[in-house]
Amino acid sequence: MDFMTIIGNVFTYSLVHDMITASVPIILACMCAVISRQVNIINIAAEGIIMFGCFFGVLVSYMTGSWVLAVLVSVGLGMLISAFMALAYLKYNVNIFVLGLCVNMIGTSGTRFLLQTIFKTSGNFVSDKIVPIPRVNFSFLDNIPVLKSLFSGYSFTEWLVIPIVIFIWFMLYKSVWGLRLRSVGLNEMAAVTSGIDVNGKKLAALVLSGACAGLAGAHLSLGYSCLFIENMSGGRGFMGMAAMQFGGANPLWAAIGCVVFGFSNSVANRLTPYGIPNQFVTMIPYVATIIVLSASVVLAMIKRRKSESALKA
Amino acid sequence: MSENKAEKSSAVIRIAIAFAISAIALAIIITLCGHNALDAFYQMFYGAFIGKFNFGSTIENFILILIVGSAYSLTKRINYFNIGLEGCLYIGAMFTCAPGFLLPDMPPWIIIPLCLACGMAAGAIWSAIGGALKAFFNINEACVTIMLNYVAISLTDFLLNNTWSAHSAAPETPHVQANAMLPKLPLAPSRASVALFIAIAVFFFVWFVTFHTTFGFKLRHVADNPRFCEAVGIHSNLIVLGTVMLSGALGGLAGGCQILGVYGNFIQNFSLNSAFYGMLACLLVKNNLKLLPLSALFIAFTRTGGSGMEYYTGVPKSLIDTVVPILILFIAMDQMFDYKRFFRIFKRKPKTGSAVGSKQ
Amino acid sequence: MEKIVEMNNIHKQFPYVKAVDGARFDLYKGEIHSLIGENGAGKSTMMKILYGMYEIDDGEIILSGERVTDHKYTTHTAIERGVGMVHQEFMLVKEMTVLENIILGSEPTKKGSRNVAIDFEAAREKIKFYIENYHMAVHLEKKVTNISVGEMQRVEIIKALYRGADILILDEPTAVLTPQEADQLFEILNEMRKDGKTIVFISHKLKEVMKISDRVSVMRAGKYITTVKQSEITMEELAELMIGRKVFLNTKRTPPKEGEVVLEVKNIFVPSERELSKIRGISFNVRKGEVVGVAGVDGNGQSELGEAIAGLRRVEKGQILLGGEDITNKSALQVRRNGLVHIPEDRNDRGLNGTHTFADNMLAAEIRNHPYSRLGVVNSKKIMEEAWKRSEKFDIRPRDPSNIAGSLSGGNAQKIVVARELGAAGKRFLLAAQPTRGIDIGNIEGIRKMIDQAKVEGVAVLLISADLDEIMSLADRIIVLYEGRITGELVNEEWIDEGKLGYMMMGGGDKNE
Repeated sequence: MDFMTIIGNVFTYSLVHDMITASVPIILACMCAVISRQVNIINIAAEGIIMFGCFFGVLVSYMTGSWVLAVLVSVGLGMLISAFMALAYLKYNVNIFVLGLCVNMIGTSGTRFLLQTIFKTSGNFVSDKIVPIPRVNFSFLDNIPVLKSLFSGYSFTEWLVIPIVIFIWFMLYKSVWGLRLRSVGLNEMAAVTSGIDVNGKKLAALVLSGACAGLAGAHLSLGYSCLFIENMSGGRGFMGMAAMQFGGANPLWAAIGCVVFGFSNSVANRLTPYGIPNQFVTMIPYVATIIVLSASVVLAMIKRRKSESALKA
Repeated sequence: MSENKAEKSSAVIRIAIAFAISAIALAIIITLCGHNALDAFYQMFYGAFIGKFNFGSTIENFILILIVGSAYSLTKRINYFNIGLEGCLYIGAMFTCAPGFLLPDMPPWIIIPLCLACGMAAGAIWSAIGGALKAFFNINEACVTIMLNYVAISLTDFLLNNTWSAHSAAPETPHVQANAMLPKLPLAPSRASVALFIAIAVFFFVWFVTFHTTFGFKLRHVADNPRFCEAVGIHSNLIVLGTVMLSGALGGLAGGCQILGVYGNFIQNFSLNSAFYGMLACLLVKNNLKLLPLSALFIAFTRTGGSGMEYYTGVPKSLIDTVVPILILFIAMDQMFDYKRFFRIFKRKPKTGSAVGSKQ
Repeated sequence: MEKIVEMNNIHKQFPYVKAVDGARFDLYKGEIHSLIGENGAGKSTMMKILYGMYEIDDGEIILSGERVTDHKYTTHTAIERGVGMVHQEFMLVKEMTVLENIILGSEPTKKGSRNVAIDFEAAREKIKFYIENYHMAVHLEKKVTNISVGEMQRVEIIKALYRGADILILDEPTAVLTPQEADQLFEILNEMRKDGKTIVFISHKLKEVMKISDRVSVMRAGKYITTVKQSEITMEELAELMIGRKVFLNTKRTPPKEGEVVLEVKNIFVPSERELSKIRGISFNVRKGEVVGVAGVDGNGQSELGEAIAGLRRVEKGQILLGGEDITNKSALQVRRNGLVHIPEDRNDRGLNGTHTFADNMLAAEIRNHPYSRLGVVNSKKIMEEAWKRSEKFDIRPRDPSNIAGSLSGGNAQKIVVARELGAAGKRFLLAAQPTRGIDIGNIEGIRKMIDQAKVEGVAVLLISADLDEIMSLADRIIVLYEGRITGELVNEEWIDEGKLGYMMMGGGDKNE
């Protein structure tokens, strides 16, 4: 097969659908990073919370047959875990990276343990009794395959992501709550002297970011797929964090960063059958993020140097 | 350094309380799962220490954990959160392996140091990316190194699937020449090798560097007050870069020891986050170097003992893997176990400055 | 008149220092009340306590007759009770606009949004009132990074008023202002007094205090000294109360022995974060065996000048020569190798590493040299021996160099810095920046003597100090820095005219020119 045919086979319009489904879990994980970054906390625990979200999503859905309940439990659990993290971080001064690292490890091994004790199986868990998050199909598009592939067949949470991102953006940049929250992250002393409860804001940000990660987990196991696999988060929490860096903690830009990740992942998946080394494609978003991050810092440095200069009048 | 002795002993007591609580919690969970907790503990101990294979496996884990833990300890001291050791381990392993199968046969005393040196150099260069970004541009190291880990894994993946593929069924590189393998310890059939002595040497090296060299002197100062360092003529950014590169070199060495001591070739995803266990060992003792070997041994014990326990009693090993990070959280939150507070409650002392805000 | 604030028997202990020791303070409605004292006297701490930023260890605060310390007293409560504070370091979020900064913490919200969406229009309307009423020009849409220091201060004042402050605390507000800006500020304060606001003015500049206050309270070393009416006291009496003894410190200055030029600064330009602190083309030199004093109001480029010479700040243009060698933009280590020793201006920042032993601190600059290390291996025994020696020589208490540096009192901690720098071998140029700031009088005299002694030994000294007394008693020649330029240079003689010096410090320029 020559190169052009492969390109033709890879870049079809169904790639858009793939890209979006691949991006959504990353976007949710990214919102976790974004919210905590706004109070100047780098929360790397998304990975661990996602794993718990995945597992409990499947568990509750399997037991009760209600995906709504399953999503709620996952979100609640995410909030609980991050509330615990906030306690450890704010009250006992535990290093946030140590916390994140431990939560991630507990997430991986803890869910494996629960899988083994509750479902008496290991590796993965599939069952007909797991009720997935429903998919939204537009029957009037059935006759137009292109539009159908572009707009139909997304799960409920995939549509939900758009309002969530916009809501978070609005809350952060247009609301009282967000103004106060951001002031905590940008200049803590300014916030203190304005009578803002700094620790309360940090707690709120962490809990909300935990909710996002919990939702990401539930979506991953019930919306994106309909099963539980060990380690199924597969680095999406970290990708979300990378995308957050890419977008400078602004939810809208960060979400675009996530789409880039989703795109490169789906292209990489499509290249695999053709024997083309896909590792470089998977690498690109990470490398790009590091470059964007460095470039933004260097640009800020140059700008500061200019404003500091004594030479201009 | 000249810490209050009473302070130190109370810290030890707090750690002990954390251990005790974790052990009790573990026992309760095991019982709830319908197993005999005492039996499980016994099997765990047995599986880690009794018999050549079990003990050897513990040693095998211990080697890796001690090297990575020492490497991590260096960067921890300058508050550089080096998550990138996993990546260094992969890169180091790959570049230790490569000369091993690319070069013609050589006597062991040439090829082994050569391979390890290649791996260390690769690890140092790899970690220099994150180190330089931190030192010169103050870019958060945790974010960068997490991403670099993924890049490192993809990169080694590419190499072992293409350039240096063994063309066998599994994704792996060819075996290194027989001379390059480190001799095994007399603990067959386990895979423990004389890399143990390398690990011990690395530990003492790190200890010596940290406390008895000018480099260590500077790096201990850089951690606490970089602006002070500038003023007295210590280049804090070069020290940061140097420390991170040294740490990366040791991370690469850890990977190299895995290749030459254990596997013999580079197999895809061979490490499975093993670098993180080294970091845990360091965090477990709050970066107290004196206790690091003990804590490395403890982590190695939970790793192998857990397998033994799972095999004989049916208690999943993943339970142990869950409890260890919880234990580390407890230890990090050790003020929670402030037993002295109980005595203090009765006599109300004036509180000392909960300083919010700048100094006067 | 109605008494609206009463603070009694306030105690506040910080980790290594007792900041406030049984002090009291009171305020009558509608007065301007100055709180004066030297650096480290506890003025700011006292007011931060009133603003709810620090919890007190003991004592009580009574606001309008109600004991507020019975409950948890935080900044939030203080603001609710109409206390506002403008801090010495501005508490503004640089990345946000002026408008956002002003409303932060008490934002007006749009109707029907359940107090969620911010109503920026309503905020603008409300702020306009303060801008017009007190003639405080601010650009609401600009980001704080892009406005001048004077404007930042106006933003801070509006911020406090916007929150409904009746009691406004200003912590050394004039330190960052030009004289014109300061005069403007005083006009604004007078306006506010007319409107019935109560103002606390923290300062150590007696001229300003006499000009603006109704009453003056004096603090010294954490203790309350007295409160007097402005009309019943003179500036000299106030100075006496503030310093605590009649005789001003007067270290006997050794006459200079003029030697060759050691430091030569040629028309340098140095960048700074603050507009007024940028160095814009200054030249001078320092000779062997003399002390050159750099006088000026804080923030006119003194710190930048010091850092540029010590190799800690970039020089954009011009040249610095030390002992004939070009050290422009060389690293601190290279400059030190050329014979610089440097007492940094802030011992808690650059001067000391508070978490390490004082032996470590004392030899940090010489750790590379034999006998303290050899081939990169540290000789701890030699370090301890030397540290003991210097501890004796420089009279540091407690003597034992294995103590943590942060646990020492300010004066002794500063002596560690001095011991590190003056004990070093091969020194030929001493850069002393604010060497006695915020320490007790006994140690001030000691350190000044040491600097004079260094001069006698043939070291060239550049003394940067905001303390005019210190400059007058130590320097042989004085240069005056104003907004990053030299406004005057004079020889320190018996009949030196303080008025003239003050005039130059305010940017007046050399009268002889």
